[in-house]
Amino acid sequence: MTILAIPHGQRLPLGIAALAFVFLGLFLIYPLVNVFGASFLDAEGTSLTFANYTRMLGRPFYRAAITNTLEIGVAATLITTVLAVPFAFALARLPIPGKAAILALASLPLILPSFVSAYALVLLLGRSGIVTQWLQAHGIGFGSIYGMGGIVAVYALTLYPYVLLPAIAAFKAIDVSMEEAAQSLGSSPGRTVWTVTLPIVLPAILAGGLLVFIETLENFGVPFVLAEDMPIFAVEAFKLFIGETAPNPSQAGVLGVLLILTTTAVLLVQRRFLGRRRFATSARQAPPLLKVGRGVQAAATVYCWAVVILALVPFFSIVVLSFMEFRGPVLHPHFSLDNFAFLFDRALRPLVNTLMFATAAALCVTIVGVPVGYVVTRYRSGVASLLDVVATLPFAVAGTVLAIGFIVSFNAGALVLTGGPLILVLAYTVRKVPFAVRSSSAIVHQIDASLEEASISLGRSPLQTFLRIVVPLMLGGILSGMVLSWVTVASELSATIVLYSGPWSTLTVVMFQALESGGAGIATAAASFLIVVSLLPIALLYRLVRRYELS
Amino acid sequence: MSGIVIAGASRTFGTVRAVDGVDLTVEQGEFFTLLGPSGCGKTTLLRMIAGFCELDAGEIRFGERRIDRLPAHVRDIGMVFQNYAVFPTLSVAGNVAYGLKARNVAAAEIATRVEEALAMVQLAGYGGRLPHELSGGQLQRVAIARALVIRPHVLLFDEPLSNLDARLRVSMRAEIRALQKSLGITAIYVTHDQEEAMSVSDRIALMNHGRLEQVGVPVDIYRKPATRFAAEFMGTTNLVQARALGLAAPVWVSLRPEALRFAEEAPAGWPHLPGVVVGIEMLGPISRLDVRIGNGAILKMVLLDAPGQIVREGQIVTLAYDSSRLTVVS
Amino acid sequence: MTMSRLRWLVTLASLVCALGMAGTAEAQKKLVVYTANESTLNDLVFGAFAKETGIQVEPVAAGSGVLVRRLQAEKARPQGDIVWGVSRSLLETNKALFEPYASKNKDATPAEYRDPNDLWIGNNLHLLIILQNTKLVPADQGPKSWADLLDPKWKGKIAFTDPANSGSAYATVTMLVDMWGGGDDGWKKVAELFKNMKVLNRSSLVFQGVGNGEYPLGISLEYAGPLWASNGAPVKVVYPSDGTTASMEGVGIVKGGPNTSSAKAFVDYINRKDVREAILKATFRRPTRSDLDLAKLPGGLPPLSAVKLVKYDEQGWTAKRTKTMEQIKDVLQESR
Repeated sequence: MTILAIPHGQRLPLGIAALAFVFLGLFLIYPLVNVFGASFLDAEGTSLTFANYTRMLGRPFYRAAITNTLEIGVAATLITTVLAVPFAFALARLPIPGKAAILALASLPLILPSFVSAYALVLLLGRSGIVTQWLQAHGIGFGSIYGMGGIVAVYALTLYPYVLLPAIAAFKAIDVSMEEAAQSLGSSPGRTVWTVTLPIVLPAILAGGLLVFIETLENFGVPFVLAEDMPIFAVEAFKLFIGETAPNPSQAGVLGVLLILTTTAVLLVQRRFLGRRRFATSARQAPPLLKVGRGVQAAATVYCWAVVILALVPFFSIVVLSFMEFRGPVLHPHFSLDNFAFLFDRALRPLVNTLMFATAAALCVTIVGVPVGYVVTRYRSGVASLLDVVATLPFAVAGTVLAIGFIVSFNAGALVLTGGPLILVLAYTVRKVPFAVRSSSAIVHQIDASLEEASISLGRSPLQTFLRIVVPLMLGGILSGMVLSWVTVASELSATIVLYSGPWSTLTVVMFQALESGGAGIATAAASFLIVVSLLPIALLYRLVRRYELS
Repeated sequence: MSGIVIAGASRTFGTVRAVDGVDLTVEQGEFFTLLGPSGCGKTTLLRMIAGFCELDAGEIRFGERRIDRLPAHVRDIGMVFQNYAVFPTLSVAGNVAYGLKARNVAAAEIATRVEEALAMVQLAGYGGRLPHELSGGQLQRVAIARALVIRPHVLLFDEPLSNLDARLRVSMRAEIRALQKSLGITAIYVTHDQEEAMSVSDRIALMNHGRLEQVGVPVDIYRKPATRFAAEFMGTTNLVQARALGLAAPVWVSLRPEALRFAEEAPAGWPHLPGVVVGIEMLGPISRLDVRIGNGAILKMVLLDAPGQIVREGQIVTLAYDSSRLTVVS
Repeated sequence: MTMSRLRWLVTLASLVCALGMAGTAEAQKKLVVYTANESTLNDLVFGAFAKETGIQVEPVAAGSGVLVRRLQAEKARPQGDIVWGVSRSLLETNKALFEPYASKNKDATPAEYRDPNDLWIGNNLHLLIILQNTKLVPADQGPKSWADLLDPKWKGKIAFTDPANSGSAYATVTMLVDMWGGGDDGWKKVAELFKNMKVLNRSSLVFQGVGNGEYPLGISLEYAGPLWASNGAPVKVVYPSDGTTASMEGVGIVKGGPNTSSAKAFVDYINRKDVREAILKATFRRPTRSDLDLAKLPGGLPPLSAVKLVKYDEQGWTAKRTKTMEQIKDVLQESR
């Protein structure tokens, strides 16, 4: 019998971790080092220095960018949470009509690329927007959509599903006896929610809030349009990387590294916090709906529908616009199908590419992310923590930056990927792996470890156990992670625009180019089409999840 | 096949020595129980045998075969968990067939053996059900059938009855014992309930702070506890200094309440002790009395209910005890 | 049940993959063009070029910053054949990436609009102009000159592009520094101008903004005016009376690209007189060739001779770009 240094209980997780580190090392860390290396070098590129960092942080412009970004991030996270938590509670515990529809509609804002949402919002709520003018005509002064308020509002209304979905799951997983215990001790129902229920769901809310915060740090589509001339971190990084006039890789690298450090810090704080308070809930059944008065029920219903519909405003307006006539860039409000005729004439190939890439990437993301999510949740070791951080890093890396890293790293040498479709699928996979890790981790938290031990004791190896017992139990989470990946890959722009080549253009590239050159009609038609196509997997998911939850 | 040998097994978690140099031999076909309070290391020791916990030192053998470095899934054990751990995605039959499929047993044989096993645990005809349709007791039967059906070298039970209600616990433990005996599979059973341990076990290992406190057949551990911990854990007892009973040796002794009687009802030759009744608890068939004796120590005794018997608090009584049931404890 | 669903999903996935692969089968003469031009212009030119030559163009369309970063990253193994529609300063600073080629239209193009070593050649000129939304500001009440823009009444009403992301915006700022006295005096006045401006992140936001009425005025490029106006938007071009400059865009052949001979055909094609006329008709790009009769073409572009032009030291400003950009950022931050 050979004696292995690795304890046998650790071989599977360490094996998974090793494979994940190889994958992420090659397709995340290596490209990033290639991009960010310049930020640690002096002007001649020969000796190590932190001068770039002190110099950048000394400039008021970039300090303002950092402050603005953090203020927006914190405000958006708080508002999103305040918006989404009561929403989640209502959906999980109150009798609200049309729950399934609300849930399906709530994921929709994620489908629309943020630069398209921003375009729609300016048309509606800009200084001469349709809604603005209507309001002004009725004597209602309307502040500007531009600036911090507008950006925060857009984030809150597009990112709230990140908090809503995990919070619903948590509210449903609560052991109702804890609430009963609190009430039997004389606590009022309201106080019970505040003192017992909320602390138990806090980890799920925090995890969602973290996603929102990181997304606001990284996103540049929204501030690109709505910030006007307020400096924003991600936008400035973008311009320093690929600005037309003064690309400055070492300064851009500074911003990129700072972004990653911020995200890592937030992530570690969250992991520590969650690590210290782990609330086991052993609920076997979803808690029953609360009995509330008609007034409360009506208020909750109005609230939920109002949030969902408000968030879909850019969405509806894009669909409406796509059926209007555009002469060049200029909108003429008549019904027309020209945009679609033009789209199908011109953009069939990108459409097929989008479907193909999204499907391939969603599968890859699942294959990489689910085992990683399992390991980082089941095993509490240094390796697992490190893996968690590394696998969440892609959140903090702007798509543009990763894409440039890919080109620098894989254009020559042992591994040549540029020019083909594979490089896009790999970039998408790396970017969306955190989704799969997060969503599967949440499920693993709820799977009793003794099920795995039972399977192992019955003679299945840990790997077989993972495939036969754990994966089927995670299926709901895996599928929702897959759909989320699918949808967000289909609407990905920032890495695509740098990496695509030849015939491998996508629908978002078509939209972007059309909007850039004033062909808004094609852009809206392409966006509408993407919406319709994305509805399919989302609807499928909700049917599956409902069936899964019933059984 | 032969029994299980554990030699010098140790495991430390942080600064806590969860299992501290345990030596133990379990005979082939024996029903062996690891008993002790929570945190005593009994579950850790069981998980070492199962392969879910590494040993820092020591070894475990199934007969001649050393297994402590083998991965859990090749150790050939059947394990029953406290929370059943029935796979929710598989039917009852699927659960029971799970280990057989892992062993590549032919489909036809699987079908017969699953049916047999379900019949053994009185779940014949339940094969098609899904776990969420079963009660807790039924789930635990599925878990037992699932562990039995693979005819493992050893059956491990990790507090299997503690999630069941009291009545079901009593009937299930008898069933488990009967099944184990009829199949002749070695069983190691973990519990913190001494009554359960005594009722099912051939032998018991009493554990405390990661060490073995005493190993023996139930009646020996009950009647001849080696330590104060053993004496107290195995049931109510009077732990007094020998001097209090009028004996010369400077030692602690254990005297079970049932070895004390009123002098007038005691056989001749039992030593007498004067005392005062300071507490009475009437439980129906028996009453528990607290009697303060000469040096201030309080002795617990038990009276079987009898017509006309009247005992009051403050009553002065003379006790007698069976000196053959005195056990010196360390 | 779940297994059959999975299998169904896998089937779907492979079907989609197969569909995609079918598209790659087409093997013929092709050309990879990195283009910073808008899609209308790309579609027009690539379609006609393919029809005439049989060479299929695979465009990679993105902002010129992205394109140049790609070119640099791919230096060891170029993926593109042509870079098209990028500014003179980008062409100049990346000359090392290009292959020299003397275009057949070389002689029709004034020498100032081509590289002496034929590493690149200019295609069209963007005059730096002021766009005015005539619905928000009546046609006769707008500014007439750059100096008029300093009037405090325009505060917050002038859209501009961040010079970090736009070569023409950079040219505008530096031209104005020179025009307004150069050195500290020039910068001081430019800082005044910045106080009136909204500095947006992309040039398309400026003409979209003026066209859709978000901003009354915008500092933009000449072609945007007729493009929006001809489609029915209330937009007019103001040629500043105190003079302006022309920012050139051109084309270069990527050294070591996969289809260099097709690339040469493309460079010849896009500067041909008839092609330039077609491009002007569709997208109002002012050609570098001086032999087109603008008066007979749509868009109402005045001949270059009718526009007051100032001298602009493009090479000088390109050379000190990194430092100047930092100065612009500081001015921008101070003006907030």
